[in-house]
Amino acid sequence: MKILHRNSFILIFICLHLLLFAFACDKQEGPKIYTIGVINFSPAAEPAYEGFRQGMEELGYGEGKHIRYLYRGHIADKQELAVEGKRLLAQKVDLIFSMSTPASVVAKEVTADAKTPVVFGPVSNPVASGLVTNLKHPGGNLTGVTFSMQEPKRLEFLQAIMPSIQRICFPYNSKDKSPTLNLERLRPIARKLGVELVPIPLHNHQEIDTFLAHFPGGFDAIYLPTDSLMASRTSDFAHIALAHKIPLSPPQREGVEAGGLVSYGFSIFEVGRQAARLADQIFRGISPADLPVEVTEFKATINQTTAKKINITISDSILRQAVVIRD
Amino acid sequence: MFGKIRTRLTIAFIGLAVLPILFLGSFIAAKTFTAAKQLAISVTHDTALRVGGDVEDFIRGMVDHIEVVTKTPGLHNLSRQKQLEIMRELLAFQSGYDQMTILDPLGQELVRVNRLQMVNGGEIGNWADQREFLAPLQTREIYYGPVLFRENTGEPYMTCSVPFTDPQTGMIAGIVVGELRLKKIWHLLATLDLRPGEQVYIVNHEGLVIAHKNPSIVLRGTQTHLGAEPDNLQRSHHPDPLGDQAILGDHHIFLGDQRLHIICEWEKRHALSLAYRLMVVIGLGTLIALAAAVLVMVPVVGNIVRPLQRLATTARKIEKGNLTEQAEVAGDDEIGELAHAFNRMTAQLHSSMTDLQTEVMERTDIQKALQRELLINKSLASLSKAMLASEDIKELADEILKRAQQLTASEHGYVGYIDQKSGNLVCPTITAMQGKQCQIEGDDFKMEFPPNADGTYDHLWGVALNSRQPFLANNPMAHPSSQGCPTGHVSLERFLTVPVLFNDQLVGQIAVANSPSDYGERDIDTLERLSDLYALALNRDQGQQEKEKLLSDLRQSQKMEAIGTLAGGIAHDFNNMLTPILGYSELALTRLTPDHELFSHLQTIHQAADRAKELIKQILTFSRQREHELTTLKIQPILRETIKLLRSSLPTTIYIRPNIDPHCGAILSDLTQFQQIVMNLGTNAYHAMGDSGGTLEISLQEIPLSDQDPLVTSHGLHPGPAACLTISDTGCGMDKTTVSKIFDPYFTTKEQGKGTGMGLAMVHGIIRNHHGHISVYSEPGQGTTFKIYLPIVSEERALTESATTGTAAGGTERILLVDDEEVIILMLRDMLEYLGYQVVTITSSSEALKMFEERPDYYDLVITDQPMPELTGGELAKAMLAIRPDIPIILCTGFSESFTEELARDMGIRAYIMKPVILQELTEKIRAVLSHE
Repeated sequence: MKILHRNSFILIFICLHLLLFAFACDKQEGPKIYTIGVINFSPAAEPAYEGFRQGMEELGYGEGKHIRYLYRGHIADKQELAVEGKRLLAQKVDLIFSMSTPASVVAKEVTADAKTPVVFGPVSNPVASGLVTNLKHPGGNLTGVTFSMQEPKRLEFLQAIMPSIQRICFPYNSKDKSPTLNLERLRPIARKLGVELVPIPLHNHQEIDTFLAHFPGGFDAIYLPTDSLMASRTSDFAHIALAHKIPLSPPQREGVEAGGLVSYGFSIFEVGRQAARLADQIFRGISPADLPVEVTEFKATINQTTAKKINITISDSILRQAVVIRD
Repeated sequence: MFGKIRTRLTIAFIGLAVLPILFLGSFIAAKTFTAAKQLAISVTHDTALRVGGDVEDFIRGMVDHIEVVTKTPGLHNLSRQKQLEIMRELLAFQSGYDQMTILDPLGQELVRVNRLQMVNGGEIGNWADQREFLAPLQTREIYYGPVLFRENTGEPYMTCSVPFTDPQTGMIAGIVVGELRLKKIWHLLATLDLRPGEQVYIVNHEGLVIAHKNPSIVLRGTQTHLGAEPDNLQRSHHPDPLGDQAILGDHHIFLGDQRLHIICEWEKRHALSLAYRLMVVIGLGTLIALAAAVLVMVPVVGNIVRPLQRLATTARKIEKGNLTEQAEVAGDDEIGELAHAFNRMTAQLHSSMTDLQTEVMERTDIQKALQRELLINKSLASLSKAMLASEDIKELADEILKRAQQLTASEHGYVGYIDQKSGNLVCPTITAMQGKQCQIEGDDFKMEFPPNADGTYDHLWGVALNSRQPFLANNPMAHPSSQGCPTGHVSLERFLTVPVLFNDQLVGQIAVANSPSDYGERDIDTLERLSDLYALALNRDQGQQEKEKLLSDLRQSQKMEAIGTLAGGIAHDFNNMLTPILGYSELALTRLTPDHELFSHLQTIHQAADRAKELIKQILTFSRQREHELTTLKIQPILRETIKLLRSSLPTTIYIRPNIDPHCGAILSDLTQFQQIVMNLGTNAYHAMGDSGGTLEISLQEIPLSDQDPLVTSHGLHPGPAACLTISDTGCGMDKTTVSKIFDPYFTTKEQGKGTGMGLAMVHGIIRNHHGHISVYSEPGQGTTFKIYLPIVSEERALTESATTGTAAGGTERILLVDDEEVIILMLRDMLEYLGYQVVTITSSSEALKMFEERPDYYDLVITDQPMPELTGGELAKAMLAIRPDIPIILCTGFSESFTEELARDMGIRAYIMKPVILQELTEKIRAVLSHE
């Protein structure tokens, strides 16, 4: 009987362990900690990084618990961007979030062999930039958020606010594809609206400084394109516009917050949040090639304070159509 | 297999415990699986329902906004600017629209605003033939268009048309058409927290996937085929299924004419993973229960079966013969009781088996004894057969030794016989020592072992011979008699020997040695039985030897008889021839003086004739034709006389050494023959010694002969005192071949003409007639010794001196002389007439009878020859005696085999005289016969 008791005990002991083992096996494995590398060409795109992080947080990727970010800040040099991109690859990141078109181009180049997924945003024209072949079917390892469709409406909105606008200053970096494309897209719109678009090519900060220092008169408004260089100097342009009591139309909301008058575009922050959703889908198993490039949500933003400073009265209807910023 | 208790208990257990557990486990598992499956189905349905609800809420919510706008009083009558503002504000407020359009009742665009594109005020569209206008116009219901996708971005959208009416007229005042951005639905699906293997997608009524968390699936126009009402477990219709089989949950959203299917597809293996897991758990639990049951069952069954198995093991051991094995009694239960009973049974069985074994052993011993007896008998039978088949004693001895070794399992042995002459134990002239262990070398290697002077034998093998009893020594080297074993003798570890006796006479020995085990009574018995057969063989061999000797003697005798017959025949005629020669020469010598010139011639003639007569006499003696009258003879004086005679005839180089026992008893012998013996042997001795001379020893002793003496047992002498006459010389001796032939007639070693070869033959014959024995010992260069054994008679002695001189006495009587030989008649007549007798001669026996019949008293004496034609001398004498019984008759014959002197005497014939007759002898006979009258 002793043997029986002993054997029974042994059996029960083993069985309990088997059961525990069985259930234990069923238990999900511990959460994976994703590593996201971030590269950015323009300091203006920094809000996108914040929006991306918040978006990931909202989607359940707690920083430190489920995700970690490798970001050294914006890098204005493309070669250094490439080095940073390779460094991130060496870190075996799970995904690269690239902000701005230059950074995204660099990301595409460095991940050409590694096929590390890349989510870009904001990028004005991914197809023209060569990042994707097709907005619906990106096809490669890149996808992201674009905003290339908002220029006509922004110009329209600007004109709706100031119907008297005739001549619009269009500063842009002619070496950057994005503003160049903006310009091309706006020209027919401008003609339709009966306004003159005056492109001012500025290639670096010195030229911007010089231009701003010697801002020419005769402009009714300043229309900043989706241009990283210009975007980095939005506040300066806002200052000039204010000084000349002309409206400034930046492409993104942050520019309105920085002193621009009106924008009909995207929030860089929201672009980041939207990009986070794409990253989440990638982490859930969807290939970037199958994730269509999303167009960011556009929202009109009006800085009522700036309007008052430049003595512009905006109708209630237009105000109801926009997000109004009041200091 | 099914007969075993363990099997049956196991089967019973399986039937009572295992099967219910299995059944219960299976039932629970099935139920659990079904429940889990139902749960999975319910889950998918709930998911589809939930998602569908969210989608519907979203869409309807978006449409509600449009409806609210349409509730703006007088919307259709508002200014365009106002309408634009309202639309733009709506668009700004609700980013879910890409475009809003107000149509008049004719389908004309009143205003159109677009979220992304600038709408030129001059661009007025007409929707009069568009379904978006016509459908709500007709149905007065909200129209939901199909889900479409933007060309550039691929975003889904849907056109919804909300008609509004003039409250006054109730007529359709306008239709607000909005393009709903359905991207949110994609976001909704993308952010669904799905379970592993679960996917949710939305298809339109055509099966086109319009929403999926993977936009590419939508954008490539994936089509699904919704089949019959699913039974919630069917093949996935998803084109990129996660699995082959999935559980489907379906929820329909009806948006006007549009029907959207919210499909929740859960891969079976994931959907039912819980069920599977539960089944695994249940299975494990069942197995655990089974294992527990088995663990319980095994010891329980073991507690039942093990004692039985032990009992069976014990039974098997007992079966193999170990009856002392006892079953273990583990308890007081039925099995313990069974074990007790089993032990009692085995004890009884053991006892019975022991008894049986004892009996079997006894019977086996008996059988072995019988088999051994059979083997011995077979051996004896074989030996008997061999003995009958072969008279070769060596072969038989070899066979006996082989059998002796076989039956006693001995490594070594020998079979020997006792040489009756020497008394030596003669061994491997018959058999050989088996093996090659014998390392005796040189002179030590003997096969013949003489007895001691007292007749005993030494060493181990002598013990049995001396005691005439079997001798057994299982540690022979410790026996005192083992001393003296020659170096190199086979080491004797065990030794057994039996004497071979025949009629209490020791004739041989059988010995075996070095069996692997001690010798015992059985081995003694075996050897004794073999020895009996061997004794018979030896006796037969002895008899055969004697037979052969007798045959040899018979042949010799026959030869002698033949010679005697021949001699007898010749002797008669020769005697007849010698009679006138001797008679007339003797007669002439009586009439001549010695100085007569013819005296020496006549003397020579007489001497020659006399030697011829002696020769005839020897021949007749040898052939036994002449029966000599044996008388008690004191041989000492005769021997001395004969020695004198020898001395006178032998050269001085021969030294004669007599040694005569004066106390030796008398023998029964014939004087003449005795002298002949001595003379012949002495003469032969002289010849053997030759010119160099030597010593001639002549001795006479009286020796006692026992019953076992070889002279008695082998040579026919009577036990008792015997005279032993020894004549030995220091001559050249003889080899064995010569010795074997010396008694053959005419055998001589002398040169031709120097000897007749009859001397020793005659001696041999004489001694045989004397019922004695002669033996010879001779070796080349060692001289020769003859030993003559003659039986001694009683103490009466008669000294007989032979008288050989005397003159012839005459008479005047009338003698009738009958002889068919005229020469003899004439010679005898002259001889008788010389003596003064009156002689009437007649050569015809029948005429002589007539003459006698005419005047029977006329004659005083009749002298007749025996062998005559017509009537023989005997017949004539008989006839004459019938006429005149007192007539003296003398039978005078040269040879008569049949008519002996005794017969003649019995007939009444007064005297018997052998031719050739010498005068002296004749006259003496005549006077003796006539004197008796």
